[in-house]
Amino acid sequence: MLSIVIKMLFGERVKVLGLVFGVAFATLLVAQQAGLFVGLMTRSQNVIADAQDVDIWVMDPAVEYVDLIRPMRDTELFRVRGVPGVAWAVPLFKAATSVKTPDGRTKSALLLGVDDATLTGVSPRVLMGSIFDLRRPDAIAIDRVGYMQLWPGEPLRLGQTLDLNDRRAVIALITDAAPAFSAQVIIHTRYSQALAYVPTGRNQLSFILAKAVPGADAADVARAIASRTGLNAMTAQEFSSRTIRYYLKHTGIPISFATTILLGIVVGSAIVGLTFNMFVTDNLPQYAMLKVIGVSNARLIGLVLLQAAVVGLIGYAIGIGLAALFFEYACTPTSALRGFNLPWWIATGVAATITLLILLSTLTSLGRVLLAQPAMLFWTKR
Amino acid sequence: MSDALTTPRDAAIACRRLVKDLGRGKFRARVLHEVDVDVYAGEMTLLVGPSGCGKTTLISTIAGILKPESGSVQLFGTAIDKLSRRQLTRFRGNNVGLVLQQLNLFAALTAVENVAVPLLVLRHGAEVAYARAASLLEGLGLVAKTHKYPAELSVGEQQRVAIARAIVHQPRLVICDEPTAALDAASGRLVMQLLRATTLNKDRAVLVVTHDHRIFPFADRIIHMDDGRIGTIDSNLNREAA
Repeated sequence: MLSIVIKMLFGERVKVLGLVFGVAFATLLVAQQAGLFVGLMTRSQNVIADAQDVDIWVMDPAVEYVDLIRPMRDTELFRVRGVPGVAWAVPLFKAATSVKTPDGRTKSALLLGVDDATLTGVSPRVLMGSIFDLRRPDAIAIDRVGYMQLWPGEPLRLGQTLDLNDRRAVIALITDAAPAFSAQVIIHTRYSQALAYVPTGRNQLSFILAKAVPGADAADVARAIASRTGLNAMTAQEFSSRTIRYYLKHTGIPISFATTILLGIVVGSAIVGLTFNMFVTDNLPQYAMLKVIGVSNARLIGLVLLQAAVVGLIGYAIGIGLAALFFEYACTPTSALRGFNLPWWIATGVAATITLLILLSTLTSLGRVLLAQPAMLFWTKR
Repeated sequence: MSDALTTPRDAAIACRRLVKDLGRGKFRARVLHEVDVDVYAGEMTLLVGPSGCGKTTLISTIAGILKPESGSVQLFGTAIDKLSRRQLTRFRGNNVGLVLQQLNLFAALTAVENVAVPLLVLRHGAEVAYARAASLLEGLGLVAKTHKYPAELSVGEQQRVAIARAIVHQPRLVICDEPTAALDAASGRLVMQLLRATTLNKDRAVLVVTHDHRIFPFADRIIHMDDGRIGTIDSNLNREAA
């Protein structure tokens, strides 16, 4: 009986195409937009995530998120180091700037100055060179995508020079640093070197990165730092969440994505709902005939839901497949869209959304199926 | 010649004081007025009468598709008006085969698949269902058409497929609504011969609603209806096909 019902479904090729298109469209739009949104939110806190082995971020109390810098006095570093429970604390300089190649190609850049002694905060994913080469004069680390944007089509090569605020910078290290929210190029260098590249005012220290002693709770240590120094201190996880919350609350990004996602659901629902309704309406005599033949209402509901499920499954497979292809081919590790992907939980969430969409669309039509009276067959004359 | 009514137990169909209204509000009208009628197994009974006299309403009520306002309908001793909707659907699936004027073949299914549907609905295995459907179609001279879709069949062939679908599960009652209305005289005659030959046996009753005088010679009994009431009943007719 199931194969018969499936054949009846595919007998209406145009409507099936419409249904599959509606589901695939909604799936693609929702999955792609959700993936991009999550990727963008992840990007907003990548600087925090990339600073591995750091438990606590300390900053000026006015700082609300990682991209807002209010420099502290350098002496704050020593105050933090003096707080019980702190294993070590190092400075981090963070500034937005621009870089220029000798042939004049210019890109925006995120400059991160890490502790001269320990180099804590440099991306751990090194593609070329040694991290210790950053100790050489004018040495900088550049991320692979930034390098490819500055020297498109050229192979990665150490020793290339850049102009950074009229000062010479030599590429000593190429990393696979996680992409930043807005900057095209990510540069790591020593703290002292960074200050030379981007002159600042009296206060220069953007963040203090700290580690809790073994066995101590990082949140407790962060609270101790805050209470003893008057600075703002939080765990890396808390700072990540706070940064994401800031972007969610203070930018139009969530509204923009939510609108597109909602549009995908609404348009998809409209296409699926209307087409399924047409499908059901056109097939009412057939449903009535099935009732005449002895199919109960409950079984008929099951059969209609099966038809909807088949359409939903095919549409979802096509839509999620297209979304996966987008992330696979458009968001390669070397492209500007790197880091954007389609996590399993988005695919699952979209599946749940599409299931709901199909169910709602089907339920609106099921009433007509249930009310389809076999008697209509007697009064429908040829 | 008018029959005396038998007891319900003897009749394949026994309707007693059957009342049915159609329409709503001020458009509500009584279509069946306390109808008493019996139909017997082993006979082909024709239900005839002018348009709007209630023939279709009567067979719809007999098939359990419409529920009467009052009165009773017994099919082979089962009071179908007492059955729940679910029981009635199951009873109809097992015991009633319908051939409608609008054949309502499933357009996406081949002839053999169309015929197999009632067996599949009754949860027979697909292999058995298709084998029995194919064998029945072969018996109806459609062996070359088993895998054709309804759109690829002539009206007469479609009619035969519809008949096959109505009887494939061996129901005890076959009801046909105007089976020859869209056919020319020769085709109509052929369909009636086929109906008699394939559907009629001592355990099965066949009830045919028709306007078509040309098929009266095929009847064992003819029930005349007028204005929602049973008129004369002609019995023990000479059957052309017999």
